[in-house]
Amino acid sequence: MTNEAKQPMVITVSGDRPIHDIADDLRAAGFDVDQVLESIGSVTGSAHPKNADRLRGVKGVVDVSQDHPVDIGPPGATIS
Amino acid sequence: MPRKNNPKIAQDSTKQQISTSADDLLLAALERGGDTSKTGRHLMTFKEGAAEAGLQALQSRQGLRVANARDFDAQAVSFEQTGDADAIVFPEIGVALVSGEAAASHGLTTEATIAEDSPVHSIDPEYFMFVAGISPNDYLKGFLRAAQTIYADLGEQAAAEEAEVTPAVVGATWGLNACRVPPSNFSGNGIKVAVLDTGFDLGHPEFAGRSFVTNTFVGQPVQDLHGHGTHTTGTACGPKTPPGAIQRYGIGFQSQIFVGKVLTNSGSGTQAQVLAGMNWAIANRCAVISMSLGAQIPVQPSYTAAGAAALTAGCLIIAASGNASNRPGSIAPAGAPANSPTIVSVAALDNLLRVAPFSNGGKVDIAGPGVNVFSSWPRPILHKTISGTSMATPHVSGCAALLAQSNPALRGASLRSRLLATARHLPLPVTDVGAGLVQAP
Repeated sequence: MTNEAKQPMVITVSGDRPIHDIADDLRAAGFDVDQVLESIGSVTGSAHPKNADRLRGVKGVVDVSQDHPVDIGPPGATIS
Repeated sequence: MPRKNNPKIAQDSTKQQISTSADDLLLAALERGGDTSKTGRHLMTFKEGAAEAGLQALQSRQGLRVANARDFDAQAVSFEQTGDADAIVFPEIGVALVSGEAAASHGLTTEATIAEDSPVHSIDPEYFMFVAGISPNDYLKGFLRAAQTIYADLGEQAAAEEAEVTPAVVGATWGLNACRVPPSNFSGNGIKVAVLDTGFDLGHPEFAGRSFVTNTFVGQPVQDLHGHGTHTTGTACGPKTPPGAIQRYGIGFQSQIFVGKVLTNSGSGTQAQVLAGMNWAIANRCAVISMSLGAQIPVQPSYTAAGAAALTAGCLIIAASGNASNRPGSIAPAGAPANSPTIVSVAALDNLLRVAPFSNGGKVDIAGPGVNVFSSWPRPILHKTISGTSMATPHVSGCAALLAQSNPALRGASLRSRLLATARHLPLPVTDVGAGLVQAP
């Protein structure tokens, strides 16, 4: 196996297939599923970046993106 | 949980160790209620030149495990590394910090009588310290407290007069007035409003008796140790008539509040945590989902899909456009999630209805008051005035809740259309303010 670390990713799915079926296929494709967010059609978790294309090939997957940090504005500022 | 082996010790004193983090101390204080300005630990000040004698006294006479700042490199004390010490001595300044448990069990509290020949000068409670933001309201609050004390001293008649005078003088914040909230007949009653942020001070006295549904997605208690979430929730859902001489700052005062903690107490999180919060709010069918957060990144398919799912479920997601601009020189594009077409993007205005210098542009749908916004803040501070598209967003969310109450058919996409159609047009670019200033129904 590669030494490359797994990265957190966000996968967006279509409503064409049951999301839990898609999640199972993602697991089989090397995705460590963290959350299956049924109400919004998202599956979050982590995978080796080199696997991203394989994940994109799973039926029902619309998008595979890396997870991003989120905040409330410039840190430490009075503007938020 | 009560400690059975030593009933003399207050049940929460075990949390007030030397190694306890400030966050945990604050959390414990907020859970205790009452005076939340003190940590529960004590500061012992030694007489001049008596620090060494004081250290000896704590160790030998009191039998305490005492850490010494001198034992740390360059005396840079790391509180986490003090282990199970009962106290730590700072010889350079002649002060010792004593844990809540040790102080209670050894009688080393403020009430203790100090013998004349003791090396101890005084024992005082340790207070929390907060960022010293220049907040005019803190000064005002201090002034009002002083005035109230003077009134109280003058007797009941004067106090009664004060009670009659204040409501008319206090009024509402500039932001609520600009959004025409005070004359509105709506309260948000029956409307679920989700605020996805840093949590909320669930013991804030101005929210006593309110209905809360809470969840955390960041592994920390919902209790807000940052303040941001308490401020944004205050604007969207705060009370109609806060007690005393406090102006009205909240819009949906009868709305049902869903607090989703998706940002940690340091004000940060990950997209996955935010998505988990959105999923929760939609699954709970919150008509309004307020998100004063973001990142300066391109449109994210996951947020766009979440926004679409929200509209389908009869929910509307309202998000801050972001604060990355420095006008007039530089206008940054709206960040994510506000840049998604299925999510309402909110810009910030000042009290002269000018675009705030920090407010992002481009994909902007509507604008709200976002400069010098007064709202709630976690105890013991209670209120704070701050600025940002984060503050503009809950003005839009609160007004959306009133609109949703005005007509049960207004949900999701129809709520969005009505919100934009009823905004006050402004003589400014659509890319800066969208449809204009949000208005309450």
